[in-house]
Amino acid sequence: MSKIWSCIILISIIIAFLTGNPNAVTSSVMSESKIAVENIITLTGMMCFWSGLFKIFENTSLLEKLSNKINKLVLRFFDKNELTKEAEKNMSLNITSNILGIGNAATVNGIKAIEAMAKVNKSDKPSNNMTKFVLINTASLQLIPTSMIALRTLYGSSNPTNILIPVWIVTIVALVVGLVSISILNKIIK
Amino acid sequence: MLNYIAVSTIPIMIFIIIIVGVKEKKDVYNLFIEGAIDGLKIVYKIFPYVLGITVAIGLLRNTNALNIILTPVIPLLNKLGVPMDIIPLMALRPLSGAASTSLVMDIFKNSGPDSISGKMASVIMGGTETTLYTITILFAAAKTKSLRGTLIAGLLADSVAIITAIILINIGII
Repeated sequence: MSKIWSCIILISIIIAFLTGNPNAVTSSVMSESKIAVENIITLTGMMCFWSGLFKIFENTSLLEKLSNKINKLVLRFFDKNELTKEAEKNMSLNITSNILGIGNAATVNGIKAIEAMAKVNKSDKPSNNMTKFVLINTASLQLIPTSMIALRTLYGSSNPTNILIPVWIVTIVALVVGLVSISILNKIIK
Repeated sequence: MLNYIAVSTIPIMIFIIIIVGVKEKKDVYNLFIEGAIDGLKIVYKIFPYVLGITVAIGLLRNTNALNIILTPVIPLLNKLGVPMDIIPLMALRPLSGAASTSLVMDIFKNSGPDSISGKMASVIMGGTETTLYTITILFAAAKTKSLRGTLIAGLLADSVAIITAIILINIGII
């Protein structure tokens, strides 16, 4: 990230000088800093609201109930012989939280799940189950992209929720491509 | 009909969360406040990232550097239906959540959320995840010494997802 960031800034400044417009740099730094503050303020209320709402959710039994429901479906993707009960439970909780869009809970359960898998893993390289689990986490399973919809509303979209169907299509495409390619790569990279 | 379901999802979600909280006799209001404070902490933590990226991308745009760098590929991008302001998002999406959020806000502010690039940005953000961050956190917890194929597979999935998003918007799905 450091390299990308420095490159962007240095190249911009060099080009500003080459095109005889160094003033654009100064004015841009000033105006863009102001825009950053405006953007973060736009974001703040929404972030706090969802964070508050999801805190209620995390404390109800709803998450666990839903998690038990999808447990069987989730386990179909993994090699059950290598999974402990603890890993199974946390995996389902992690995937349920991801689907519901509760980022905090997803991270905590995801870490517990992979730790449980690491315990029974004999090698110092990740097992097939671990790579698959990580891949599922890199796909955005979130059913309702609440923060994106809220952000669209804030910036005056006439139909903020119309992104739902394309988002689902994109998510499924990413998930399928990810799982297929990791299954292939698991055989190649041992 | 479909649109009605879509616009109802958020109200229904809020309703269900609160009603279940009340039914299970949780201290919903204080939980909400507690969570909102966490939200504020997140905002506080990501502001420096948003500042860094907004200024850097603003420089790239205002000094005309983005135009100049992309000049050789602009005809190709036009042919493929890729708006220029989507390019930085395509590159940064797997790397940083805060950076891509600020890029999206940038696009919304300059072109509007209902423009072609605004729609593409929304779908890309909604349909993909911060792949590199996720892989880092999970494998750090597992203390493994290699990533095996995860990074390649994750980035491949992201690329295909982004291309799908661009195609879907270009064929006018919304």
